[in-house]
Amino acid sequence: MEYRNGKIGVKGDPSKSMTTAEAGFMAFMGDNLPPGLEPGMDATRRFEPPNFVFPFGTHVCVVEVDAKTGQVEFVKYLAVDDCGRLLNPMIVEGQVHGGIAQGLSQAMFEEVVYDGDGQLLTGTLMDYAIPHAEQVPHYDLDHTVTATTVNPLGIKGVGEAGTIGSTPAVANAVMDALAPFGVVHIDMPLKPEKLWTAMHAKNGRAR
Amino acid sequence: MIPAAFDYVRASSVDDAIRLLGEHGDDAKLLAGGHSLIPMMKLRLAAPAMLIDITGIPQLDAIRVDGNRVTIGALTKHAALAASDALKKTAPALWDAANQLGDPQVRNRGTIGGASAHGDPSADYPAVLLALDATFTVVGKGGERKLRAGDFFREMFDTALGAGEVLTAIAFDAAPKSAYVKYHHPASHYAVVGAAAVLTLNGGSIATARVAIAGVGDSAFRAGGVESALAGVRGSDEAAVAAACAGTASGQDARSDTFASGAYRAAMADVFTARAVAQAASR
Amino acid sequence: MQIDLTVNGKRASLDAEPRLLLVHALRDVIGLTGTHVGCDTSSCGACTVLLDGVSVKSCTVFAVQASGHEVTTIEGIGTADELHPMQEAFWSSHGLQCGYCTTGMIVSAVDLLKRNPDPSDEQIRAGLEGNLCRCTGYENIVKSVRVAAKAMREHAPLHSVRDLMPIHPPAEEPPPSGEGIIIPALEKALT
Repeated sequence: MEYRNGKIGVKGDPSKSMTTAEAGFMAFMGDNLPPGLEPGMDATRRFEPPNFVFPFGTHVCVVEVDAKTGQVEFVKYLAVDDCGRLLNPMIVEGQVHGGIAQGLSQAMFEEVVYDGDGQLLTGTLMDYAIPHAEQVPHYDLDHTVTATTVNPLGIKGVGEAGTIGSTPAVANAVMDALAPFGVVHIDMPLKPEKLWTAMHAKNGRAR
Repeated sequence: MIPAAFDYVRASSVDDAIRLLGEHGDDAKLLAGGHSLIPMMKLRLAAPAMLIDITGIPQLDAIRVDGNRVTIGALTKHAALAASDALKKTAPALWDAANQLGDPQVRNRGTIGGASAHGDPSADYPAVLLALDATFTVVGKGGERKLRAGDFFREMFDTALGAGEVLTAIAFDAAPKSAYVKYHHPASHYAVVGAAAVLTLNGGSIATARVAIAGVGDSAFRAGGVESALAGVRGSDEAAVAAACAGTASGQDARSDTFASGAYRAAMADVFTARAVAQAASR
Repeated sequence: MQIDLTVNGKRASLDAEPRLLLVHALRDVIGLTGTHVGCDTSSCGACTVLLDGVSVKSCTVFAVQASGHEVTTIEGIGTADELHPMQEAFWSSHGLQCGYCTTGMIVSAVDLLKRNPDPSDEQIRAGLEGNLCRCTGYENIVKSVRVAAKAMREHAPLHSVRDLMPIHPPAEEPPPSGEGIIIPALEKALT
């Protein structure tokens, strides 16, 4: 057999060929296979890199906290990630965007609440908050390219970069805003009431 | 989620709707935009045996400005209110509420009459209509009744609309110095707190104020103490307005949920009332 | 109960219980599965369709309420041969990842541009308030709507799916257009 012009053909006989899809379909259906040959067409190869890859990045978030209500507004968000060589920069950016939103959502909104009887109180999207377009900022992205040497493409993962960076960036931005009130830690999600209570507990009355 | 089975009929006129309500009694419910009722039916918190669709009744979806009097048909959609320049001029508080209610798809479908008749304590309109001191026209077998907002809204999911009656119109005097400011629940888009203020000014000072709050009590309520305290205050004096708006929710048993405690809601009622008053005064 | 709808310009008649939701009528009875069921609590907007030209959540409308009215689903917004500029923009600007929210998002965005053909980013975000997306962080959705708005204002030519997705690698004999490449073999196997 040989592979020519996008088709699998019989060596030396230009009249006999079929597309890979046709061959794959025949193998899958298994109707005309020689006796003893099982249906299917697959091959497995394994690549074992000599070490892990280490993507890295820095996320910076600027927020404003309303001292009267504890409500948080995003002012700016910047993420610089390094996932080695970018095979498709558009997809890489999309992964980072989505990851940032998930991470900031964890920092700000998402909470599974049960009552004392174990009844789930946040069982629908009427109670369990995930952000809509107005509740997230525009993200400015940039990247550095430090190709890894542990695989031939020089690539590193990026799917989780956004979620890893954004949660602490958002939480730390809020804590920084609350620093003048002597607040150093609040458990996530940073719901407005918690921020308001923390500001009022320290100072009696928010400025 | 599938609601319990029901029958469905369309009313061709208000009289037809009243006749159908009479025929089917307590098992029947009027259906307008359905954006309060259908979610409850899907959760089986409501299971009417008969739905009477009133959306086809003509001439119930107009916004009319007649001199100083504004009349809104009960079937007027939120989106129509939100897009109305006439409403923005004559009653910006209601315009604010329509623009902040739900989301675009909900506003395209829901109606002011349906949202009001539902009596949801976290809904936006009841507070605004209380502050506007609106008059509700309801029609039943015995003819027409006019109810003031204070009598119409009673308790959680309970209004003075009788079982055999149809809410047809809501009317109020123009209130150009008015505003509604809302604290959105991040998931449901309902009001954690909504504050409506309707003012008359004398120079820069507040002559009269009507203030009503959504989201905090078992039903929207007027904040009488705040209304009196606001008299004579300059609308631009932030500190004086804030001082007058202290204790907005006093006397209310403020509600708690997974997002906000009663104490926080009550505190936010003061903050949002002050903001509504400042905005109304600046209009 | 007899229900007569116009769906994407075609008459559709069905006999169904009044409690049948519009989204189920579209998906399960009429067979248009581009409209998705997401939250089922009128929160997420995955089920958004146009009813008499305006966006609604079809999980919160009974099919019987739409009887006598016109429904446009994602299948009626554009076709594979002539994509709506919004569909093309979601493609070219990577306005989706998993795709679950996409059809509702596109229908909402089409309605948004009808009301405001040149929205700011803030107005786009506000106009999509009724549609949740878990994957994109909204950045490229906002970009897609911006790109589509520009294309529509400038009456840019429409493209087909094939224009946007060249077959790779180019085969000597490309498969017949508009049909899946597996179809000829499938036909042979079934006859």
